Amino acid sequence: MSDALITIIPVVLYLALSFAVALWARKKASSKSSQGFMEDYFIGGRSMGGFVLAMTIIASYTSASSFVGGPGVAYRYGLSWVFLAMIQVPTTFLTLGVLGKRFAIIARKTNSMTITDFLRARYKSDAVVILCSVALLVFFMAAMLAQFIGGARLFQAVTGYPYIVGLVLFGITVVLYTAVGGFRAVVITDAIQGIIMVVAVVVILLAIINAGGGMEQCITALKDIDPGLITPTGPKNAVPQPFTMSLWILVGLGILGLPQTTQRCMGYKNSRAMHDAMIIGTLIIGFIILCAHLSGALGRAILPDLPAGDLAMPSLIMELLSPFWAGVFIAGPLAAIMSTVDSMLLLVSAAIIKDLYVHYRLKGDASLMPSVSIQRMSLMSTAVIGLIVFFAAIQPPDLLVWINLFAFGGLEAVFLWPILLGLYWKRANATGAMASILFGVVSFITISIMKPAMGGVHAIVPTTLIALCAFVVGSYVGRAPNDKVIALFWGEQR
Amino acid sequence: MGDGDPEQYAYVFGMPEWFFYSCIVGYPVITILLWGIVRFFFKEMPLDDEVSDDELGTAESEQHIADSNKGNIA
Repeated sequence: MSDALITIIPVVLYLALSFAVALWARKKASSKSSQGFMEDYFIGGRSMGGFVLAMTIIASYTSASSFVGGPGVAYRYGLSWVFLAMIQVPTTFLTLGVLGKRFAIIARKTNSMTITDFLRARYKSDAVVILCSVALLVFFMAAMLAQFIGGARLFQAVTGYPYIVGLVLFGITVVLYTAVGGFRAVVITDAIQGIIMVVAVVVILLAIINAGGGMEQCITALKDIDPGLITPTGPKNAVPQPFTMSLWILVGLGILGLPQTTQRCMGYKNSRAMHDAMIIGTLIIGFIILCAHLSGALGRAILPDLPAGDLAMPSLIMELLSPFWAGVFIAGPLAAIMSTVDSMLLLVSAAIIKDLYVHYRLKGDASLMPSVSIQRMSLMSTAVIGLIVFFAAIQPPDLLVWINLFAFGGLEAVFLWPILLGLYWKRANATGAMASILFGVVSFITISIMKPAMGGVHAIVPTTLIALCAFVVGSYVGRAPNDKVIALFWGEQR
Repeated sequence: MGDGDPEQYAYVFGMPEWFFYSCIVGYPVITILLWGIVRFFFKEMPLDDEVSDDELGTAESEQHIADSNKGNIA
């Protein structure tokens, strides 16, 4: 059997497992009413336990960059970048902690299944809902495309099979299991994917330390290449303090603005699940981040002269792992990619079916339509969107690749303040939300393109501040939210 | 720690001291810290709030919301 074939075995086994999960989830979702079906397909009947909740937050958050991009930067900047990456450890804790049970309670009260539902219930504004849905469609399509491309390229680099084979293999898998199984399939596969990611990072880290002749040897080798690789500020101070601080904002606050992560906080079973997830999530994400980035940094001791950091992980895998283990490792980043794509796919589908179609064509009453039609439509729309992205990835259009550069920052600019202030500030209203979204997106794109000198601060920092100011000003200009909304969100107290 | 000359670094298990204490030790310490916070400062409560529109359920639902805010201090 050829090496390439052996490499592909663990990948195929793992993809088959994902299908099995989808079919199981399909059976489990036996609800007969239209509303019941949607509740099941888009939020899994709000039945997630702690472990699954933690894993799905981690999996939808970690993407190709956690396995290839991030360690690639660590390869260039050494231990300083590992240190910096470790600020992602409290991510799950912050996400769940800040949104809190309040978010889950209100989501249940207002019967929200998506962030858009939540925003509609809070702001009672079609303009806000449509703007958010459009932003979500555009940014998600671009981000999914980028994930597909990244995954297929990685697959190509490691197995030697052509780009298109990798794309077909995991592109079709992710589209199918998401379309068939819905939310339940997405979160269960996320949990499996999380476990695979943990195994993958351990395998590669051990292989690297082993090949380098132990930790001490590796570090000495790094010091000989450039003493800056083992300092906290990197070679020639490449990792300045303002940059570290702005990454804190990006990670700490920003993740709340990512709808695919935030939506998870509506779907857990009870407060116990949330508490458990906060701990399990912290433990596992810290482990993955530490091992993956440390691998990148120490990898420099093994292969010191790669032309680009992004090549670090694929090259190390091929250099150090036997074909079978290379396959096991490659399943890790593929898992990370698929788990990001599946959540996005489902949310895009939800935006079309629930937020736009059911709300505007059926006036918000899903029971006007037979359950079977809703089921078929949900499945079809998920599949069609997935296939559009899939075909786009064969010959990536420049426009979408360009939009992707703004996708994550853009999503944060759109969703962060409307969610956060909607939840905690009584005066927040639709005018403020609109202003925040418009100013946020425009300023983020402007700053990203113009690149004014800001002393190493990431564009997301001024964007977040501008969006906040716009929100506050807009809210005071507009009318205060009506009493019904206040009563719904804050109980009877005025 | 770690600001000095890399030549003068002390090492723990082959890793520079600053890195060992911040990342390798820091990660479990933070996890344990967060565990403590969840264990002692977070309350368990029902999330379903079916009775909130009811006159009778009002006081109770206010209680839930007040509690949920407490949980969010962290």
